[in-house]
Amino acid sequence: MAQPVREVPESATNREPERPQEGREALESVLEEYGGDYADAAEYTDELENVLETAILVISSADDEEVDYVTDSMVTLVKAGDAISTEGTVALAESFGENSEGFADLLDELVRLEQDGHLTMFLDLAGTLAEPLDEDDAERLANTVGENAESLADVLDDLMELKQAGQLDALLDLAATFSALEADETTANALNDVLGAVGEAEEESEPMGLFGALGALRSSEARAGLGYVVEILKGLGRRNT
Amino acid sequence: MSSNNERKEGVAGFMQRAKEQANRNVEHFAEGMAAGSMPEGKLFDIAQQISDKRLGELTVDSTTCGYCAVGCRFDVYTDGEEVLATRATDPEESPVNDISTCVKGKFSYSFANSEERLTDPLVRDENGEWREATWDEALSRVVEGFQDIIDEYGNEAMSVIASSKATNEENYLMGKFARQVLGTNTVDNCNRLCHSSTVAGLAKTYGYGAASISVKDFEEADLIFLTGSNTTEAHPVLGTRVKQHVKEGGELIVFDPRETQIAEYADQYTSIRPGYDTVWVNGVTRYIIENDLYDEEFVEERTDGFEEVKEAVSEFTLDYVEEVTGAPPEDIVSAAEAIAEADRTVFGWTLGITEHSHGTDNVASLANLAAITGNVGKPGTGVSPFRGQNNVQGGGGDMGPLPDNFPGYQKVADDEVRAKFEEAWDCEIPAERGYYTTEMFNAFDDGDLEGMFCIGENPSLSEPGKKHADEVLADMEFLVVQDLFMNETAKYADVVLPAVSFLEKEGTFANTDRRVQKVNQVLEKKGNAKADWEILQALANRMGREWDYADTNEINEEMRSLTPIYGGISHERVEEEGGIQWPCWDEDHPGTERLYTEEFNTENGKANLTPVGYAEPMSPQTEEFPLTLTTGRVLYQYHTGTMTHPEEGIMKYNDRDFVEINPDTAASYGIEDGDPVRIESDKGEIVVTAQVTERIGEEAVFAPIHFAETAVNTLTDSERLDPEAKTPEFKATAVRISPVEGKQSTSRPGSVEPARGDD
Repeated sequence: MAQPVREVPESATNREPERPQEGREALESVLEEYGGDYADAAEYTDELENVLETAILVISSADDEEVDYVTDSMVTLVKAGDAISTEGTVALAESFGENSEGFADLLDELVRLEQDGHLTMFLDLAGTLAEPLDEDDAERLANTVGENAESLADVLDDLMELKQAGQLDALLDLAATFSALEADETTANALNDVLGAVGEAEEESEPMGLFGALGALRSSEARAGLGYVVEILKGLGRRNT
Repeated sequence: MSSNNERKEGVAGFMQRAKEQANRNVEHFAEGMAAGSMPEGKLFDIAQQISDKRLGELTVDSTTCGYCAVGCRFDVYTDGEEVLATRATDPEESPVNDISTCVKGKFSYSFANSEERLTDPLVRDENGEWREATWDEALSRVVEGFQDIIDEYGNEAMSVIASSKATNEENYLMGKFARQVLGTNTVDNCNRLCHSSTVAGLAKTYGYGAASISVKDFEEADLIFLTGSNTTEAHPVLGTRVKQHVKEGGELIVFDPRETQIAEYADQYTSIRPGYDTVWVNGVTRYIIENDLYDEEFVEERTDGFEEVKEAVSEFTLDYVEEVTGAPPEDIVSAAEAIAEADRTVFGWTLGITEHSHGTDNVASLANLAAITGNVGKPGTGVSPFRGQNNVQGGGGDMGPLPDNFPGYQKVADDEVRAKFEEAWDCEIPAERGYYTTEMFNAFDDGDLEGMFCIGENPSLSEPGKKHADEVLADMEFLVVQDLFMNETAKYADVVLPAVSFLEKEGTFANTDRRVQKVNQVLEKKGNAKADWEILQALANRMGREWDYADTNEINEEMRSLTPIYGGISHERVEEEGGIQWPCWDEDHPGTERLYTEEFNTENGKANLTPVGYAEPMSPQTEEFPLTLTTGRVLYQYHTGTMTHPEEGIMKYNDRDFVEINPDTAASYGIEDGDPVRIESDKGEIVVTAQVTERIGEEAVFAPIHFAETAVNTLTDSERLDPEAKTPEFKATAVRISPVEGKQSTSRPGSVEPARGDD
């Protein structure tokens, strides 16, 4: 004999626990959830730990703008990997088609970082340091990440060039999207197939390379003609799905 | 992209912007790359490879639909956590639906990932509030509760409601659990509320309580004779088959109180008063016999009881039929002549025939009509009750979670059969049948039942007489509910056990034409929820039994060894051959496409025609309650809404109950389309929105069954039951209507569209 009760503890349902959405509480709760990840990452570098400490200091005395900044750099990029929908992944994969040069190398590094579980850390580092990053910082950071030092240094070199070309945001977003793919060997192989297909297509044409392609974006004619092709691509992708 | 969505604040807002920015950048980046140098042909190649890769990341598995009992098969595309898309399986493997799926089967899967899904067991804390519990604690409480009831009141004080949503294998175990573990025959399921009168009426006339035909007989028929079936809404894919039949030149006759969409396709639609079906059916039969239009050879060779039927129908003259049912004499004549002239007629019906206090008689009268016109057992002929729940034929009937039947319709009362199950299950089984579902709720009142184990069923809303059902549920000594959700019934429970949907488990369903088809797991189980069979096994073992099923295949093997009509229906064969229709006696038997081709399943092999006389609703119209309420489904919703209400798109089409009223009737009460209307019966009242439409006759009103807020079973009665099958009289309740003054809300919060029952 029981009185009718409809309210059920949230933890016994499929609901995501609600997190505060604003200010310090929001950050603290996110840190609580993702704290373990940072702790793991921190093992690789004192610098990162310092960065975290700085972040925590900022939080403790944060105004809205600072909170936003820390949110951007320390938390959201990690979460963005999960949040980005698969809408971007087709476009991303398409973009791989054009990069037999530097981009493919970058991709390899990203795949390896991801496989080693370091992509998130990379995102954190790059994101955190997006603003004040200079070459010394990059090298110093790269030197402190143990076995990944060499590759990360390469990546950071690329990063620097991109930053100089004003395209760092694009790469960060790309990398975040890539992490959402949860790349594994199968994915990497599939992408290599795509690259191979493009390679054939490219035999007779002048490879543009990553930076050439980025440069091409500035050409309004190129942009105008391309919307059509991309729409066809998306449509074809949808039909085949 | 969510650019059109409401802008969010704070961290969520940042995430939203970051996501949009990322997508924009990635797309621009891709554009730049592609624009540089790629020939268009290569772009297509690459797109193809990308889509292959993306598909490669998805799981594609075929399964059988978990909504209605048509038995559609489709491929489910998932990432393991979410249904991303469904597409009808290769036509060779989807014999029933071919290339079709309906709106629910195609789109309505949000329920599986609904935030309201229960992921952990719930028990009551010291204040009576729900508290999350481990399985160990919850199962201990269940066992203790069941044992207390048994110790104090005896085994016969326990009851089980089995779930026709669950697989055959699980339903076999529900029946076994009731008899072997709890020691009672009181186990029943939702068939009692729908087609139990079909089962009773057909079983006594022909031998099997099931459709005699296959879906393809709809194609081979010259005439489809439909009554009490809103086919396009309740069984949309069968509706498509019927429409196809018409399009290809076949004939269609519809008798119904509502001019449903399928009636618009009919050569003849006849409006009838709800609740007097034996009268007009007997009228048609009488006309056929009187005018020698019946199949003398078939009657002579394959039936018994013709003379008694002839005698019984003699009073149903054309004038009398018109007086009682409103059906014009010319309609009875033309229907009778059409049946007589057609070489092959299929008779189809749904709950408009069965959910009456004389549903079994209604079905028997149709069975008589089909038999005397020779329309049984030949291609393109036969009877087809369209079953409601996905597995009510298999789980609800064939598997025998029934008070009077073991699996395969073997009778509990038969000593030999009972001895077989007693030996197999190592237990004693009472010879007396248990209570039917509708009787259970009255037996609690009388103190004959004290405890209930309710699996995948929502009697608070689905039983006749909601007020009564709620009182019984609240007063139960011990109630365990096993479900996906905290539904209207679960809120009364002592313990709630979280179960999983058909998308999260493996087994078989049997559809409306006796076809056993495979159900495959396409999603991960939600949280700590378990399949019904796993929960039952855990409980049985805690109550001293030694169940040791590793999977549903092992359950199927045991079930088949005890169930002759399923003897050859192994998982392996179903997987390899597609659906197999019972009876299928052994591994070499091909299954049975059409019943009664040679003989009926009766003692002498002949159809037992049963004389049927006049019958009227137990709640006839009176001066006080001058209209007759009939209830049913709408296309976009399903039963008590646990599966469809989480679906946003579906709720935009239909988010509340309503009442259909004929324009003349509405005018006489001063009611306009969209007005709130109070419907009252002698049991209670509800307020719903008026839908003024000519599809319903002047003396009837229709309301759907889908929303707790306006539960239509507030108006129906728990004691008006068919005498044999105990089916409630959902389809005929005397009511009055009145406009509601002022602004009384009849809608759900956040509703956006006017309610419509059809597209």
